[in-house]
Formats: sequence, structure tokens, C-alpha cells
Amino acid sequence: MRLLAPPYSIRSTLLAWLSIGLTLGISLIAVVLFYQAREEANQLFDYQMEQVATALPSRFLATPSPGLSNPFEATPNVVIQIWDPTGVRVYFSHDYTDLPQRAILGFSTIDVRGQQWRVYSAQQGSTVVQIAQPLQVRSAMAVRSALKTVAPLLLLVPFLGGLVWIAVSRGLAPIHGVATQLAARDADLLSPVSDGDLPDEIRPLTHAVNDLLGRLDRAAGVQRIFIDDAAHELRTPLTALKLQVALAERADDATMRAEAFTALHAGLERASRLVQQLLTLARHEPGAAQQAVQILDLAEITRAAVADLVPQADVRRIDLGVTSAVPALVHGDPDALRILINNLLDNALRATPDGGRVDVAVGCTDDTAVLTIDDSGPGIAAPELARVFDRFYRGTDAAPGGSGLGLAIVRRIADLHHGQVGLANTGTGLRASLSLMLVPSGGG
Amino acid sequence: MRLLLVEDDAMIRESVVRCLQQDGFIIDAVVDGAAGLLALKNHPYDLLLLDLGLPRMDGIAVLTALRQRGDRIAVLILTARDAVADRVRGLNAGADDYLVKPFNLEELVARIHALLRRQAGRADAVIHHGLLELNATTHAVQFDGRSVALSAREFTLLQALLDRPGAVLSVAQLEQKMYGWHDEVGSNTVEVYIHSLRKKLGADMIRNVRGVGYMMSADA
Repeated sequence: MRLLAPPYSIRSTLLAWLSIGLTLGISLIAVVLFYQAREEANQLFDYQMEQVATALPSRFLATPSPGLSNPFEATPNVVIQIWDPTGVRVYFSHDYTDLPQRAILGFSTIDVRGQQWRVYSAQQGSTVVQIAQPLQVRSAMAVRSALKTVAPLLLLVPFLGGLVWIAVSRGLAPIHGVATQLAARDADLLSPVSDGDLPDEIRPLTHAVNDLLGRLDRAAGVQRIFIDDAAHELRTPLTALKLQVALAERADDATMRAEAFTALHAGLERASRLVQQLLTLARHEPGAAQQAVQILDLAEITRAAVADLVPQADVRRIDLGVTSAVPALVHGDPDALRILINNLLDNALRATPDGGRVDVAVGCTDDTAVLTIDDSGPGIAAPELARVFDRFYRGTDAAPGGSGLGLAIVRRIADLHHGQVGLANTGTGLRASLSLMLVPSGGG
Repeated sequence: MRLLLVEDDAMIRESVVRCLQQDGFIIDAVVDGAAGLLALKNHPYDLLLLDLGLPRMDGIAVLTALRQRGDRIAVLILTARDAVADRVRGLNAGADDYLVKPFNLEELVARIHALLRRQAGRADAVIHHGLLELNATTHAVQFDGRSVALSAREFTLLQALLDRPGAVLSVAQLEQKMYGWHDEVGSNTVEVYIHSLRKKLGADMIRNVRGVGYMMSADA
């Protein structure tokens, strides 16, 4: 783009257009004036030629001699010739033998050796008088006259140029005001720019800038809340860690020290998990770089996620398994979906008592793939069902060790995939479900 | 000194209980505000350690309810909320002190001691009673210039008696000061500790008011 449209200035563009326009306009006027002037010169000179031809014989024919003064002396290149009735040239002012020796009576325009001549011939008594003048003389006069009239107009160019210069400066002055206003701002001040005294032409720009500032402000607000929340949430595991370290330091004997280190280890585990989940959440923030979306089988990803968690389930003798899984092709980011399913499974395992059961199924309706995870835990009290998806919200009876971020991550990833997540009490436990649009058959 | 901790985070709860027990406090812990209010109604605590972000009933609500029913127990808020507005709200709701997580154990213990001192109307950590000197912070006890080694229970018992020097405390009251919920209390236990205290500090130090309980001798 930059190569095609180098930086330019409104002022010089306007000046260039003005100069070109004025020059063309003045030239046009000059041409019109020239034609008008030539027309007038033609009429004037023709009339003069007629008058001279009529006036000549009375004076000339008495004593015609070549030495007589030419009445057209003021006008150069006027040739007068007179013939007697026998056809003998009795007078000529210039010896232009190229001019026709006998002429057609009245006005005519003839071509003599590439030069246009205006010729007038008249019968005066027994003699014939011919007056001829090159048209070039008349054109030169017309040109002089046209140029004389047009020349003052050229003064308009610098005058209007100066006006444009001042008008542009004055018109654009408010932009400098806005620029100064923006430049003087702190990075965190995202309030709208005032456009009260800006020209209409600039307002679309300030409106767009204000719109962008508004969106930035909202995004920054969301980020601030997130960082506040995150910093706040990190305090809890850090407090536990500090106390656990204090306990380890105080431990007098090997048993107490071992106990303290076990607790410390669990505390570190929890803090790491929280940091990991904060990172995951940040990576799936709206506006974060999108991962490559591809067509994948939800059933396959689900089976892999279940397989990952089987050892964890075995420790607590929880029967974790996939009851049914039909191939379900969806558009998605495999890593993100894996995290989503893993978080739902992790929640189900936490809620399920030792020796319980977690059933996973993937099914399809007309255009939707549905993943369901049923646990045999206590479920979630109805009033809390909607809130558990909130960041850092931990249910009243939530199993310990959760960061309060798992379901927030689940919902964020589901949103990115235009999917739906839901939680419902089944009476025997909690059912988590995820719905994603199927790839239309034949569409991929 | 018997404390109650209301804290929903299991790791913090367990660690605080363990640490404070090592420092000689009798401490009980509950998970939420409602349980805290119930425990405060039924047991004589000297100090409440209260988290603010609690399930079911917020810490501020617990504090407000507590003050409304006229309970004057010293309250130390332990919370992750560090905004000035939060501190002000906590203190205005009736808290005596405010400690932001993550805190140092030493600071927690120091603040607990400071609050307990103030509550007992003292500014000095050392309690004097005749020839007896008891340092509530270091747990050092001196009698007539020589130091006396006391077990944790003996110290707690002596401190309970010294807190209200002129009052007679029943065996049941003393038991409640000395034992948490999870401690086994054998029969005659208070009497056993009184006996050992008298052996270490002299028989005249603690008077038995027959049929009522025990008190510190006024002229010891």
C-alpha cells in the first residue's frame, strides 16, 4: 500500500489541483478570447478594406502613381493594386506578383504560397481595385489582444494558492489539537477524544478512534479484573506454603519433618496447578492467538482423555470408562478440546467418592455432537449450578484442592468452539455435557 | 488460651492449627461461618481468627452477627483481600486486627499475643502476681527469681487463672480453657494439673474454693 500511495499532503494536493485547474481555465478563456478577437478583427478590417476601395479611385485614379502613400501604412502588409479597363495594372503598393492579377469581385480568401490572404476587389468606374491583406496579421492581433486580456487572470494563481494555504492550515488546525491531546495522554487513559471543534471530514476518523479506544478500555478492564483475581487467588496457596515451610522448619523429629514435607509437597502441587490453569485460561482469552482449527473426531479425543486419567481413577478405585462413543467429526483445536474434556473428567473424579463410577459417552443428534460425563458424586446445589462456571468460584461443597478455574476454562474453550457446556443433577450424581456443531456431511 | 479458626481452605486450616498448637495454643477450626457462630456460642474462646471469603456465610456477616449478639471476643481477620476499603470494612464491622495473606507465622503469633494482652487489659507481655512472673509470649515462668519449667497444659491452666486473678473458676470452665474439641479429657485432669502446679509454685499459690472451683491467692 505504501508503495502505491506514498505519504502526501492535503495542502500540496489542493495546490496542485488548483494550479492545474486555473491554468486550464485561463487557457480555455484565452482560446475563446482569441477567436472572438479574430472575428472582430475580420469584421473591422473587411469593413476598412471596403471603405478604402470605395474611397481610393477618386483620389488615385486622377493621378495614379506608385509613389503615392499607402493609406494602410499603419497596417502592415496591405497590398493595393489597380487595373485599368484594358487590364493593365496601373498601380500597385507592393510588387506582389504572386497575388492574382485579375480578381473575383467582392471578398475572397485565397492561398498564396502557403499563406492565407484576404482579398477584396471592386469595380470603381472603369478601373478595378484590389486590396489584399495576409490573415496572419489579423491572427497576430487577435493573439495579442487575447493575451493582454488574460494576463491579469494569471495573478489569480498565487492569490488563490495563498488563500488555499491559509484555509487548509486553519481547517486542519483542530487536528493538531487532537494529536497533542492524544500524545499527552498516559498509556492507561482510554477515554474518548473530544471531537467538538473538528471538521466534519475528520469526524469519521475520531469516531473510529473513539470506538477503538472504547474497545481497548473494556479489554483492559477485563484484563485488570483477571489479574486482580489471579493475584488474589495466588495468595491462598502461598499462605498455605508459607505455613507449611514454617512447620517444616520447626519439625524436631524425622516423623514431623516427613509430615511437614508431605504437606509442603501438596501445597506446591496446588500452587503449580493454579499457575498452570491461569496460563491455560490466559491462552484462551478472547483475542489470544487462535490455534489451528482442524476437523477431528470428538470420540477419539474423549477416549484419549479418559485413558490419561484411568491411573488417577484407579488409585481411588473409581470405575472410569466410556459407555458409548460414535464417531463425531467437529471443527476444533485438539489441544484445547483435550484440556476441556480433561477438566470435566477431573471435576467428575474429584466429586466421585472412592469406589464410585464415572461414565463417559459421545453421541450425535442431527447436527450436534454431544459428550456427556456422569459422575456418582453429590451433585451441585441448584442455585450454584450457574455460578460454578465463574472464574475462581468454588462451590460450597466443592472437593478441596480445586483452583476454581477448571470450569471457567471449560466454558472459555467451549465458547471459542461455539459450543455449549452444561451441568445438571441427575439424582445419582452430576452430568456434565458438551455440545459441538458436527461438520456437515460431505462438507469436509 | 483457646482460639477458634474459621477458614475454608483445608491446607491453611491444617497448617495454622498445627503451628499454633506447637506454640501452646488450644485451637479449634471450622470450615464456614455458620459453624463458627455455633462454636462461639457453645465454647469460651479468647480469640477468633476469621477468614473473610467463606462459603455459605461471609466473614463480615459472621462478624456483624457476632457483635450484634453482644459477643466481645477479640477478632483477627485473616484474608487475601488487601484493598484499603476491605480493611476498613473489616475493622468497622468489629474486627480488632487485620492480617493479609500470605502472612508470616511469627507475625500471626505476635498479633495473637498482642490482642490477648489488650483483651486482658495489659500492655506488657509479662504478668506479675506476687513472686510469680509469667511471660505470655515466651511461655517463661519465674517464681521468686528462679525459672520454673511448666508443661503446656500447666502453663495454660496457670494463665487462665492469672487472667482473672480475683475470680473463682470452676473445673468445667478451666477444662474448656485447656482443651480443644479433639483433646481427650480424663476425669480429675484439672485437679491433677492443679496439684502439679502447687508442687512447683508452692501450695499457697492456688486456692481451692470448696464446691465452686479454684482461684489465685490474692496475697501470694
